[in-house]
Order: sequence, then structure tokens, then C-alpha cells
Amino acid sequence: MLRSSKFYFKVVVSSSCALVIAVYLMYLGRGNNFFFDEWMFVVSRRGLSVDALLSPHNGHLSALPALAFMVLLKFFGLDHYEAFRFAAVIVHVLVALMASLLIRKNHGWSIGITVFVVIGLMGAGWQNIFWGFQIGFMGSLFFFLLSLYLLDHGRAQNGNISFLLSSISLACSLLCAGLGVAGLAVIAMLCLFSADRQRTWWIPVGPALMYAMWYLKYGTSQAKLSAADGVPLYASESASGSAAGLFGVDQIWGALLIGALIYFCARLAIRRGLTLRSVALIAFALVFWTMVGLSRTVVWEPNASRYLYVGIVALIVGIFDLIFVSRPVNRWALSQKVGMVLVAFLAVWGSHASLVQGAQWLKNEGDIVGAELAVVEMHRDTIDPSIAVDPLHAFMLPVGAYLSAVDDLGSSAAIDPQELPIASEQARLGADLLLNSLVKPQTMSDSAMCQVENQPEGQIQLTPGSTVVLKVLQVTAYGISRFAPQELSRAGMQSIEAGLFQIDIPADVVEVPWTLTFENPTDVRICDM
Amino acid sequence: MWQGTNWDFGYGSLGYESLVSYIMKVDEKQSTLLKWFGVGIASLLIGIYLFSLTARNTFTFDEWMFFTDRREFSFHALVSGHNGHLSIVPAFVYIFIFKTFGYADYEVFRLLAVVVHLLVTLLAADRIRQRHGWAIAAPIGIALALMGGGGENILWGFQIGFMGGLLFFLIAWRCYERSLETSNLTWPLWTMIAVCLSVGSAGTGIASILVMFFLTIRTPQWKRFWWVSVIPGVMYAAWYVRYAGSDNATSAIQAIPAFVARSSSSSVSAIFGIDHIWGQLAIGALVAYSIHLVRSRKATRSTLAMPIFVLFFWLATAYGRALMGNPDSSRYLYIGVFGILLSVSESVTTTQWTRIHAAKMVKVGVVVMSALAVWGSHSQMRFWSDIHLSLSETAVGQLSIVEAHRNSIDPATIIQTIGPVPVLLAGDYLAAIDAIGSSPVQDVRELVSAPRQARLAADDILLSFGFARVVGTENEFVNCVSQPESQNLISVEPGGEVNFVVTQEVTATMARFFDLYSRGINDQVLEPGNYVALLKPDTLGGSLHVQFSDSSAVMICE
Repeated sequence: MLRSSKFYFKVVVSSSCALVIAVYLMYLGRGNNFFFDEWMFVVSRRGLSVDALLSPHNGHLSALPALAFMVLLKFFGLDHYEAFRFAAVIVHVLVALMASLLIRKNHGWSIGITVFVVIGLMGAGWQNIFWGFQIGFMGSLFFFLLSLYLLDHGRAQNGNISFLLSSISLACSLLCAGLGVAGLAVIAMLCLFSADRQRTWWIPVGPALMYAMWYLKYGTSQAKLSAADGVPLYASESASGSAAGLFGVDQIWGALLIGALIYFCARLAIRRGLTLRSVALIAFALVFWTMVGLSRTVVWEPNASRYLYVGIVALIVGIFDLIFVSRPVNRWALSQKVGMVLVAFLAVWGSHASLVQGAQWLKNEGDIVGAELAVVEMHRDTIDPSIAVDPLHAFMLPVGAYLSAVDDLGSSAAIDPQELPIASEQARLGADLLLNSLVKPQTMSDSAMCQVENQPEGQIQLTPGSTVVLKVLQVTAYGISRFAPQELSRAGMQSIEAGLFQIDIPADVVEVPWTLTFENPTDVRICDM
Repeated sequence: MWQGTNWDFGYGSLGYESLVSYIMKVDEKQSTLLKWFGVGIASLLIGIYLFSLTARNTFTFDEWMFFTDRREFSFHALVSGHNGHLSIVPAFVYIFIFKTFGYADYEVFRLLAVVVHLLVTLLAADRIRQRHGWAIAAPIGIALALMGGGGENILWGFQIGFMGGLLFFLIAWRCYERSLETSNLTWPLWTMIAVCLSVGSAGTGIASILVMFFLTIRTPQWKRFWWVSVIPGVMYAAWYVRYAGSDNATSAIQAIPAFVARSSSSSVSAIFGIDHIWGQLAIGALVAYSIHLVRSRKATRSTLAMPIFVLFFWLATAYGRALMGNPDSSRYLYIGVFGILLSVSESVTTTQWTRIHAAKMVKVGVVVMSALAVWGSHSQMRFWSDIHLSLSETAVGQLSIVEAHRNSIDPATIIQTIGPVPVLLAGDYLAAIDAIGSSPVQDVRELVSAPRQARLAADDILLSFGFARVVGTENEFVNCVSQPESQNLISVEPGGEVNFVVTQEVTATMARFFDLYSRGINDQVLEPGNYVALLKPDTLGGSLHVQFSDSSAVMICE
């Protein structure tokens, strides 16, 4: 059957939008590096094994993202983070696509493509979009939406294949992250409490059994029932944060929007206009917020970007589902479509600053760790393998584990050591922090080593590979810096007792001298050797 | 049963149906009377309770400005602005009470605040009763009367002006509705007078001009009623041009929407004493409901009157205070709570709850919600009670010292402040009490038995002004043989002094009315040398106690 030119127009426009958004997001996320939880996967889930696939990550079943990381590490190694970013962007675009498809079937293409653009450029969700690790979280959402879409499709077309695919998608959602449990609850509600339950009851059963078996073997409960009293507040803050995040405005405006939504739902409920399907996405969001509230109330972060992402997608699709059941005639007038485009523009415009800032923040984190890893690799034989690469930015990455990953994969996530002097200030400070761990004053007992004593200036320059002998007259403090100013040093000044000390400055491929700073130069003498 | 003796004498001419109708009417009248009697009893009990929460209070904060500047009837005293508000009504009331009762009877102001609050509540509850019946109005009325969120207004005499703006607006609204039922000028005249009083009470009343204008403009009654809003409006404009000090020069327009949103949502939260987020959700739902009403053309001028009043109040407050005020302030919440509840009451119809079961459920729901509102917000009421009591006791302690040492104190000494702004100088205070012939602390005889906070404040001011002190001296002392006796302390009677020598460094702690052992902030380190501990004479009772960290280092001289 030949398609109409209108169809091809829509395909071209939709594809172009997807391409432009993907390219733009890749551009914004340029220069990123592995971040936080990703290092856990790099360190402990490189090789294919049952444990590597099924071990929980913060309580989540993460088999599919673990598998994706294994494959990506195998093919691209540590020096092509672009591949991981690309994966995240693709999954994100797929989420936007699924959301727009769910909306398109009830509201038409123009509304669907508008929603696609809004979700595609959703600033509040930057953490998921630019962080490769979040393919699991977004993947779980994507597979849930796909499962829902296939369930709807199966019901409309009377097709068991769609139901089977819906069940498989739901299983994939569970295999991606704990978010899939919320999806399972909603799909189960839709299948078990619907009029056609005799045809659909089995859809959630397989995934549920699979998850139950995994949970019995590997699962650890993150939820705390003692946190139940905080859940309503957590959920309401999450909801209002999501509504506010959509437009990039203060949380109070989000709360007002959620209040309006509650009124809208209540009115529909009173008029018996609500259906199970129409509240599926809202129920999904509520279950998700409840789960997070139960497990994360100690770390109170309902407005964390990764959670807002899920909330925003669920709210957008959920609101359109409610609009669908509330309108006797489901046709959008031109003025309404224009109004929708205007609202979409406001959402993209208002939240875009978050998108840019989020990308910049992640890049900064990547720069810091990349510079530190350069130091680790330059001094791989002398640096303590048990210390963390960075106690703040990569505390879960021990030096030894990283070096074995480098050897194993034959690639590195470090920046070129020659770029250290021109790296960002935060990156240079991170590099200096590690270099400090390499330099320890050694006590000397032979006072004859110090023949001629010179009082130093406040700072002295030391070439790599050199040695200096200090005579400390009374307790004072010293600092070591190389790429960043000592005043900003993260290591700060170290205390040193009175005595004779030898300091060996390690040699490496960078010719930048080291700087030794004294708190009180009059308390120190430099010995000629 | 009804075949009683009256049948033969009084009602013999009535038919059976007429008799039943008559009895029902009598029952209805009795029932209504009984209900109003209940309202009276409830108001009395609540009034007594609220009055008891302010026992021992005296003037605080802005009241001191009225205390010193508005004690005589004069044109300037009446029409001068107070923080940008036209306050002719509260100024008149304060001057009248000062002239009638003096400064010694703060109870009158406390009582007035409670009465004004109860009148506002009764008028609001009666509006609710007219639309929804007793069963819904009564619990809401009780919740409003005991509304902890508005405690600052209810428990502070000065806020009769702020509450008065709302009170006279409600009266004006009622008068306007009555005037629609008649053709004479009496009710319109009362309406205009009430609007004038509302505007003259505080800035809260300005919205009443706008609402009256809105209710009358482009209606068939416009020709009859135009002056009801225009005359007060012109009068207010004239006052504003001449007297209003604009304190909103630094206002940022962009801060207004958020301020209004926070004010409104905090008002809803304040009803139940819960977190702001719930109020925000509720306001969102109310906004959606309002949009629905407007879109479905169910909104009438009457249903929009209260929303306009409260919205204008929030906007005006935001305009003046967005950058320096607190949208959660109790005095703003008070207006917001009444505004929101009355807005909802005026726009909601309960006629759709035709089924008895549903109607009962609604009533039970309102009772439960009202109980939760009282329960949840009551801690706020206690909070404001404690705050005012603490401030009052502090003032009593300070002013007792000021009066006792009036000849020794610099008239420019600042006694009371609001934040960094001085509101009461010693000279102004003494001039005021001399002029009126009474004082807020005239009944204080012995500060030693005064409340803890009053004693603490008295000691602080006594020591900081140097009326009680330990000073070094060059004088030579003789017969320095005895040491402080019990508890390492010496006592100095009012008007007396004690000489002593310190042989090695000691710390001296001083107190007169307060517990010497509960503090340490008046500690004074004394180097070796000769010292005099002195206390200026007064009639406040008690002695100055000076306690030393080491009594062996102190020798008392004759």
C-alpha cells in the first residue's frame, strides 16, 4: 500500500527532530568522562559472568545496563566515552519517542511531535541524558512505555503477539533498573483488573516470576517501612518538583500545577470519567515516588535530576491520557495546537539552562577525574593502589582497580599528561591532591647531611626527579603543589615536626616543576648536599 | 399528644394541618433560638479561652508608637500613616482607650482584639451558614475562631486595625446585600460607612473599595450605588496623596507572583498547621476550580467578591513587602485563611449532594476537617501566646527600672526596638506616662516576685545602664578583714554600697532580681585592687548580689 505524502512528511519531520536533538545533546555532552557509579561497572563488571550480570547495583537488578557496559567496554574501551554518551542519548530519544507515540495515538501527530521535542530537550533530566550510566534507568522507563504501548496495541488489534512483546518489554524494564517494579505494578493493574483479563492476565506473570526469582537469590531491600510516614511529603515534593522542572521554574509553581492536576483527577473521578488506563501513568509515577520515598528518605533528594526525568515523562503522558478521557470530542482546534506549541516552547526555553549547566557540571567532574587518572598512570609504580583516585569525585574507584582495568582493556580514561598544566583549575587541583600522596618527607638521622643551611623564600621550585633536604627548626607546616596554586590546594598544608627531612620529588613525563610552600620560612633551612 | 388544654382555648379555630404547621414553626423558631444561644455560649467560651492566652500581656512592638505618638486626639494623630497604612480607626480606638482607661489597663486592648476576631468569625460563619446550613458553618466557625495560624492578630491588641479592615468589609458586604432588597438609602449609606471604616482600619480594607466597585459597576444598580465605593475611594486617594509614605520603593515586580503564591499556599497550610507543600497543592486545585467556574460561566459577582478581596490583599502586600516581608507572617495568613474559606464557601454549592448519605458524609467530613484544623494549628496559637508573653514580661522588667530610675536615665535611651528600628525612647515613654497619668507597670511593686523573664530583663537593664555595678576605685580602704560569707557573695541594699579588696583575679557575677545561679552573662573579671559594689536607690525591692568565683581572694572593708 502506498503511503500518502503527508505520511512521508511526518516521517521526515519526526526523524529530523530526533536527529537534531540527538546531535545537539551529543554536542552539549562533549568532553564528558566516566562518572561515579560507572566506575563500579568498569571495575567489577567488565567480564561476562552470571554474577556480573545479576548482582544488584544499589538494590537494582541491572542486567541489561551491565551487559551494555560490558559490550561497550569491550569494543570501545575506556578512551571512548562518546560511545556511552551516545547510548544514553539514544535511549533518551527512544523514551521521548515512546512517550510521543503513546500521546500521538489519542491526540494526533502534531501534539505527539511537540511532546517529543519537549521531552527530548528536557533540561531537568540532564543527569540521565548526559550520563551514560543512566541507560539503565532510562531503559527501564523506555521498556515500560513500550510494554504499555504494545498492551494498548494488542487490545486494539486483538493481537497476542503484541501481548507477548509487551510481556518481554516488561521483563526488559525489570532487567534495567528498579523502576521496572513500578511498571510491573501498573501493567499488572491494567491486565488483572480489566474486562479482558482472561486474555491479558499472563502478561505480568512471567516478568514478575523472573524478578521474584532474582530477588530471592540476589535481592536486598532498600525500602524501610519506618520511612513510610515521610512518603506523602516525599511524593508531593517529587511531583511538584517534576512539574516545576518541566518548565524550569520554582517548585511552588510546580506544586500549584500538581494541585490543579489533582482537582482535574478528582472532577473526573466524581463524574466517573476515569479509567484504569487513563490513570496508568499517574499511578506509575505515584508507585515510583513511593518506592523512592521508602528507600531514599535518609538522602532527601526528591528533586534529583534522575528522578525528575521519570516524573516529568510520566506526568506529561499521564496528563494527556486524562485529557483524552475528559473530552467528549477528541479533536484539537488549531488555536489549541498553537497554544500547546507555545507551552512546549516555554518548557524547552525555561529548562534549557538546566540542560546546559548539567552538561557543564558533568564535564567538570569528568575533567577532574581524567586529570587525576593521568597522575595515577604516570606514577603507577609508586602510588598506593589501595587509595581512592579521589575521595570526593571518585571515591569508589581504587587506584589499583583502575590500573588493572586499564591493563585489561588496553585503554585509558585519563587525559594526556601534557594537558595537565592547561586543564581546568578543579582538574589541576585534583591532580595536585594525588601528587601530594606521592611525596612524604623521610626523616634523616645523619645531621652531617646538612652542611650548609640556607633560609628559603616562602616558596621554592623543585624539578621533577630532584631531592631536597630540609632542616625544620620548630613545628611548622608545608604544602606541595604543582599544577594549581597552593592557596587553593585540596591537600592543604601538612604539619611537620622539628628535625632533618629528605623529600624526593618523583619524576614523570611532565616538565612542570613542583612548588614547596612553607608556612613560616624562618623555621626551615634548606641544606646544600 | 397535642390534644392538650390549649386546644380548647387558643387553637380551636385552627384546622389539623394549620396546627401542625404552626407547631413546626414554633419548633423551628425555638430551634433557631437554641442554635443562636449555642453560638453565644460557644463564642463566650472561646473568647474566655483566647483572653486567657494573653493574661499578663502588655504593649509590644508597634503599640509603643501609638503609646507615645497617638495619645491625644488631633487631626495629625488620627490620619498619620502607620507603616503606610491609613489607621484612623485603630488610632481613634487607642486614643479613646488611653483617655478613658489610661495605660494601666492593657486588658481592654486584649479584650478588644478577641472581640474583633470573634466578630469577624461570626460574620464569616454566618455567611457560610446562609449558603450551607448550620451543620457545616458551626464546625468551620469554631475552626476559624481557634485558628492558630492567625494567632499574631488574635492575641495582639494592635491588630484590631488589621482585623478591622476585614471585619468592616464583611459588614459592608452584608449591608450591600441588604441594600439590594430595599429601595431606600439607609443600607447603601451603612455600606459606604462600613467601607470607609474598613479602609480606615488598615491597608487590609483597601480591597473593600475595589470589591464594592466590582459589585456595582455595570449593573442596573450602578446609578443608585456608585457613591458607595467612589466616595471612600476618593477619600483614600486624597489621604494617600497627602500622607502615605511609600515603603515599596525597593519592591521588585518580579517577586510579586511568588510572594502571592506563597502567601496563598501558606494560608491553606496554616488552616491545618501543616507543611507548605500541601497548601501549594490545595491552591493549585483551587485555581483550577476557579478557572473551571469561570469557563463554565458559573462565577457570579458575588462568588468573585471574596477572591478579589483576598487577591488584592496579597498583591498589595507583595507590592509593599515582597523584598522584606515574610509571606508566611501570621497576620497575613489570618486574612488569607478567611479569604480562602469564604471564597470556597461562596463558589461551592452543596445542592448536588441530594442523597442523604452523601450529604451526611460531607457534613462529617467538614466536622473532621475542622477538628483537624483546630488540633493541627493549636500549637501555633500557643506559640504566639508565649511570644507575646515573653515580650510583655521583658517590657515590664525594663520599664519598671526606667520608671524607678527616671531621673538618672538619658531620655534618648532606646528601650524598645523592632529589629534595628527604635520604637520607644525613655524620654518619650516617661513623657507619655506623665501626660496620661498612668503606666503599664504601675502595679508592679516587687520585681523579685515578678515572672522570670521580667526579672531577667530588669537585671539586664539595671546592669547595662550602670544602676547596679562594681567599679574600681583609687580610695584606700581600712579594716578589710572579713570575707564573703555564705555562697561567696556580698549583698548591696538599694542606695547602699559595699567596699572590698580583691587580692587575686576573680570573676564576679551580679544579679538583683534574677536567679544568680542561672546565668553568667553579667560576669565581670576583677583584677587585684580596690572596688565598690553599688546599687542606686529605688523601691523595687531586693538587693544586688555579687558572687565571687573565689571568696578567699576578696576582703570586705568597713
